[in-house]
Amino acid sequence: MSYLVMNDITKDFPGVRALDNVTIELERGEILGLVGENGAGKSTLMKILTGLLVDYRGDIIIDGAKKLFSSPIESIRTGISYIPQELNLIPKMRVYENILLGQEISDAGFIINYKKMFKVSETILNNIGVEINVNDFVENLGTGSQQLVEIARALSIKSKIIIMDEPTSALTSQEIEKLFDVISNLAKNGTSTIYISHKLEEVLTIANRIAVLKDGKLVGRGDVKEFDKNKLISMMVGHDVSQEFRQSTSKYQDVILEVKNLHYKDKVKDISFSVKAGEVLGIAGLMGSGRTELLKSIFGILRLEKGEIIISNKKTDIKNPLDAIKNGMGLVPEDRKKEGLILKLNVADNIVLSILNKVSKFGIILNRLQNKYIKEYIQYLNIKVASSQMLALNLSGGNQQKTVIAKWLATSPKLLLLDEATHGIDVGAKDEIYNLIRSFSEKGIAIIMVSSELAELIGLCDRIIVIRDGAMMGVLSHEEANEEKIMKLAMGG
Amino acid sequence: MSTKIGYRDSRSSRLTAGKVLSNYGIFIAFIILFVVLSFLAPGKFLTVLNILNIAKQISIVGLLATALTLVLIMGEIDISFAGLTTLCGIAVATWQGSALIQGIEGKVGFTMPVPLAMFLTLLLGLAGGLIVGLIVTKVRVTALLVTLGAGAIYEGFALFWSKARAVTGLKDSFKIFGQGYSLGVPNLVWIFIVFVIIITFIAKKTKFGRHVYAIGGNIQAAYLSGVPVTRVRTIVFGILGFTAALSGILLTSRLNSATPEPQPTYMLDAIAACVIGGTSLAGGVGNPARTVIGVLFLGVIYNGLTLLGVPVALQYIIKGAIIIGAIVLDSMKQRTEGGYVKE
Repeated sequence: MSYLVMNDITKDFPGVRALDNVTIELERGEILGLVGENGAGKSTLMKILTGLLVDYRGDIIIDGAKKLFSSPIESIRTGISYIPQELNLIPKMRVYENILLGQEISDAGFIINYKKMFKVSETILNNIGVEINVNDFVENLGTGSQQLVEIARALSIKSKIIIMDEPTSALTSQEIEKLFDVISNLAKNGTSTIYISHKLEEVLTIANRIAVLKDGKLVGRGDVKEFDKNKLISMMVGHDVSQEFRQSTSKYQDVILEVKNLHYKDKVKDISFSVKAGEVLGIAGLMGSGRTELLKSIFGILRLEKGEIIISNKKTDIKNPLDAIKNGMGLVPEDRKKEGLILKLNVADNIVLSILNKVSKFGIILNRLQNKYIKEYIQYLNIKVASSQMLALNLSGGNQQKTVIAKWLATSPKLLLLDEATHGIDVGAKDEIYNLIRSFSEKGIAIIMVSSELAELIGLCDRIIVIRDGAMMGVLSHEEANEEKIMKLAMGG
Repeated sequence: MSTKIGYRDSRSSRLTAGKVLSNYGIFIAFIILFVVLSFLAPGKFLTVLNILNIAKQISIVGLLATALTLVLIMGEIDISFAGLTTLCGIAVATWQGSALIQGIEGKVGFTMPVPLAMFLTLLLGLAGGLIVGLIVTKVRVTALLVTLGAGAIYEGFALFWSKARAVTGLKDSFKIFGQGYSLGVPNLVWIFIVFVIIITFIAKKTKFGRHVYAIGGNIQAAYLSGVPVTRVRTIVFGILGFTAALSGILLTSRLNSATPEPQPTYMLDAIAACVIGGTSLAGGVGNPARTVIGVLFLGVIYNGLTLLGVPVALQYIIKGAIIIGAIVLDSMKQRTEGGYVKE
């Protein structure tokens, strides 16, 4: 029997089955590549393995014994380490302090023994063939070295399984080579690795075996020799997507927004496009490819370094969100709880938040005026509330998202920016939001939507822009867009 | 099935014992306190004179607490207002030409009519608050530290200006605010009532007030929704500064003199009154009108303790315990509402 077996794991979120009878196995000293689109269930599976999610069906069996983790600490004690994309090191502490964080070596129970800590840390680093001065501050190390410090930390707690989530996203090619050497060395010594990455070439290089997830199901697994890049992509995207979400409309001709040569750090590079009234423009790309930053720089949250924003044929300087709103824009942000809603205010207050000018006279809010909007939008968007006085905190995800959309609709926008508008909401509410997007488009509102769900983009958008590392890789029309083409552009195939 | 997911927290629509207690507990506690004191100090507590006395005592700190409520709703804190109150008390005293500093010969300060002195004092307070607000919002430093420093500066100026002595010899016309009566009720109390109505109206009925709640609830979402975050935050600090000046004027008028030592209890009492009145230190929640209940509650307790002959030292201990108790209750409420969410 394999060292680790995750057997028939099923996990439901309200309205969504995130994992459906997924089984993976991992031998001692094996490197398993775990691939899948955003939202395919990779993170959910790893959260279960690391004890972050406890409410699931199925078994975790390690070394022949069934395990039930009720917290991350138990998972760590069993020998499982998770190295997230954003590293968990303390930059202002030294390398050896980070490696032995939480298991400091002391004399008489409380006096730190630096010499021993030095030695132990050095031994761990030497064993994996890494030369880093253990006395350096972590903040002075490159990202590659920091990654190696994380691995050393995992080894210091005698981890048998190390999970790496997109470990190479910030590494140079030399650093990647070094990392791969270390992972191979670990494997020889019996430590197993679960390697999660969007970079398929890397997975094919380093992994012994590969597991492919799609929509919460395991759609492929086997020896790395059985796979190549194209096969992986077609497994990840599948071919069962209905493309009948929408018929493209072209009632309107005026260009609402045109952007030219937008630049923001290395996140948005020389991006130009335009959107017409009633047009739905999709933006596809992997997580971290600069999609959110693109929307944020148009909406005035991030200050553009270069580039022009032209609204209704007039060059406009958008310095902050208020300017954007005055120019007829609305942004439904990625994180509705942190950026979209005031959770402690009720639904009514949230809906009128951006139109307080319209519903007040001499600064005094008039109930007569605001109630009209509140009633209209609760009805139009079908927000399910017992009363408009209910706190936004107590709504379901779908109704919270509709409340955010209602807030922007109330401003009568010309352009709506949607960032992962259907993320984490149930299927029924998703459908309702699709219908809304269609009806906005018919009313002549231009829409730019970012989404990780390719089916959604293909079904709803007139055109799809694909970006990678902040740069535009291509534009696909509604007719030519399919998941395979998008993924190839997004991954640089 | 998806259509059934309307809202998941059915508790929020039901009236439970816990909800009643957390929403109306302070009213119930206040009534019990009132009844108990009436029995413990018969003929002393429940008299018109004593009640008016309590009202007069709480009015000045009440003004500060009411304005402070706005700052707390916005998710900020200010610990400089007691110092500003002292400074403004000294200012309004020395600026009216007749003032004397004890032990020093001759008049002090500029000579100007009382209304002008009052007007300039209010401006001084407003400016103090706005400057703190600008430092907090523009430079983006923690309000706690900025106001800690500002408080020291105010007290320093107050000592410097008054040569560290009490300022007396004020004009008679100035006494009417702190010592006069209208319709049998002290003017101080009238001013307090009107002030509470105005601030509550601003908080609950105006665009500005809605912005304050939105910023306290989620400053990022408010900013992305087009709320002029910097302006609103600065003005709220300005309002508290203005109120500190008003309090300083009334205190000087009531005592007929101004001392450069800050009133030691103002800071503690004002913050405590807000928390007891249900304002969350985490921001986004609160009501200036309910702060009045907090002020009354504290006022009645101090009055009762004094009537019952409890030593001052013990009064301090009791006061501290009440404040900690109120804050513990507040944080427990936060926890059951928001929870420590683990994905």
